[in-house]
Amino acid sequence: MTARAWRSLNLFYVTVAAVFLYVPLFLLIVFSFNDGGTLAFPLSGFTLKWYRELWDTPELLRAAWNSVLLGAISSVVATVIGAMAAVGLMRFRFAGRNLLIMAAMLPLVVPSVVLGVTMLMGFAQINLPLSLWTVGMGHVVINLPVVILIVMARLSGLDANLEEAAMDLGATYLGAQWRVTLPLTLPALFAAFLTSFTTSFDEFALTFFLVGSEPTLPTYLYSQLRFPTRLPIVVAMASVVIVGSFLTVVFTEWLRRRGETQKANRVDSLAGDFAVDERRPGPAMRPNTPALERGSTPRGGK
Amino acid sequence: MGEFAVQLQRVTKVYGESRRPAQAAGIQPAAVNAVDLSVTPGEFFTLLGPSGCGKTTTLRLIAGFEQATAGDILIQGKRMNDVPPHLRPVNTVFQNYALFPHLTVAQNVGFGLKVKHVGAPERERRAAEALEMVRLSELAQRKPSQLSGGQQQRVALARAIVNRPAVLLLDEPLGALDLKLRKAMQLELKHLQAQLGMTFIYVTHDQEEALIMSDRIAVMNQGEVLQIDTPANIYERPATRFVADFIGESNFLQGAVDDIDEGRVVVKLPGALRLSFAPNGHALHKGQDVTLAIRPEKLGLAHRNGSETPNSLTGVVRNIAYLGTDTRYTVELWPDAALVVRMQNVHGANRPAFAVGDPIRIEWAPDDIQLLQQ
Repeated sequence: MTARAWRSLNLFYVTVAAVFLYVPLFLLIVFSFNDGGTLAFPLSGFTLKWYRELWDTPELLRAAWNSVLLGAISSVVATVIGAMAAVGLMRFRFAGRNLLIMAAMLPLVVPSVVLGVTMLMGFAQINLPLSLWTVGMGHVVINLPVVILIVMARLSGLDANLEEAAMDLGATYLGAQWRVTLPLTLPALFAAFLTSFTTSFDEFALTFFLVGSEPTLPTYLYSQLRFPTRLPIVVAMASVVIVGSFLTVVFTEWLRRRGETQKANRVDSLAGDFAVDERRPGPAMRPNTPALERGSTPRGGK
Repeated sequence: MGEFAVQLQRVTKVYGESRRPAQAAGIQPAAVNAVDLSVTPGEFFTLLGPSGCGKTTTLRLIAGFEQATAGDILIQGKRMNDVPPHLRPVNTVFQNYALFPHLTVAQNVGFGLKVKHVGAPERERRAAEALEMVRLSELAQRKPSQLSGGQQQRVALARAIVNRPAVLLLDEPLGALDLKLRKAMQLELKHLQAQLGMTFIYVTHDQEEALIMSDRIAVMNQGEVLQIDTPANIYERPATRFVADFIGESNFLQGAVDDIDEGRVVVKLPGALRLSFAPNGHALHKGQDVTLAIRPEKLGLAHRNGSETPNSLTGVVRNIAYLGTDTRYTVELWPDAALVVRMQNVHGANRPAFAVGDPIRIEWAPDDIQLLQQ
């Protein structure tokens, strides 16, 4: 086959993949503006009323906000615990290490339904009332293995001598973690956080068992499916989520590229934000990237 | 105690079961076994040995990355066994450099000063000074990934010496460089060490490197130090067969002590041959089995002409290898015993003095024979 033929074949594949992926999403957005009660062609007219109704449905907004909050907090917790576990598992050799790795990976293979029932029984045993907190604990559990895997993969790519070099140069163990391991692992931590957040945001099976009176977005949407008249609002909400996710991805990518341009210009990159800066006195940790990272950039320290 | 930069006293390291010497010793062979050594301030001290001999473990014990199973480690007279790495007055140059990839060259060099809270002006001045010393000032703002191997090596060096450690530990720092660069860096390192007056403990498996650079060498094998001496003495007066074999090339002859008198020893070799020489301090008794070692370049060849001298053996040339600066002859003395003789090609290649099959005589100065401990 000629190079030209290969190219058109590739183009064909990409087109098919894009159609399968994006046409349903696109349709969803189209129907969210459709002035009619059913999700079917022909479209009967353009309207924003579903969005208005969405805005006027406080329970739904509250559920969405619950999910955002739940995702953010449980993902931070999962990332912190998972990263520490990964460091321990990667850098130290101890009896039962392999057993521990296997145990940590268990939530990956146990169906969330089973995990949900188990945790429900557990919480009942200790008389812990169901709430968003119990859901959060569940989300931490299912996200831990993913975080551990992502961070371990990054750590295994790091030279273990780097930590030793830092300690050799006078840094304490924690100092070496802070000044060397953390900045070099930051992209992985960020990836782990995003992955956890996404999982948490649309987790249903486990959440369904552990949720109390406060719904998350998926459990709320599910409960609304019983009312056909509410369906267009659900569609509008879904559209908002899709557009929101899309913007997040674009924004993250933009940040990443900006970081790389800066690197080329010899300004500190993402990891460099934590760097020891020789040129400037004052705070040792100098966040120089605005917006997204600033929130996650630890400050101060010695 | 204070007169030594570093002292190891009966230091043993057994991996696996740390801090339980009695049980551990039976389970696994010691990576480092009862090592005793003393390094004087300003000395260039080399740990030399094949891979797996325990030299790197010894270095890591001094740096504090490994805990000794038994014995004491003293730095500047102070016991360091339980002192963590960051509080020891030593710095390490790692084999793979271990430069921090997220920091610039200048930040890498300033790292040690930064964590010790040295103020910015002094830190910058000293970092610049150290970079000056390794001639990398113009690359201060680069990232390590933008440097060549040789440049990275210099950064690693600058990053260590900027802290003015009492002892600098170097773990095969030139191992990853190509031959030519390595030769240049050997001289540069030696020069730097003399200039700084700093104590260097240098780990290498390259015997030539050790001979060129060191004030003293400790030859290690299987976790034990076999001999500590100056390069010349290590080469000329090896204490054991391993040392004689590992450093340079050696001929070995097995024999037995036949007679001792007036400070001369007579050793009987197979075929009723007898050699006599000074015993250089070994306590010997009659009938004892001994190994004799002699360097190929200390041997000379001559055509047999009837006049046999006491320090000579006769044999037949079996192999000739031309090596440029010299020629290597393999001479068979008797079945299963051959000596290698190296002769400098001072007269050029036009005069092949000996040919394969020639019956010849091998001569030497009696003091060039080394009697080795069994």
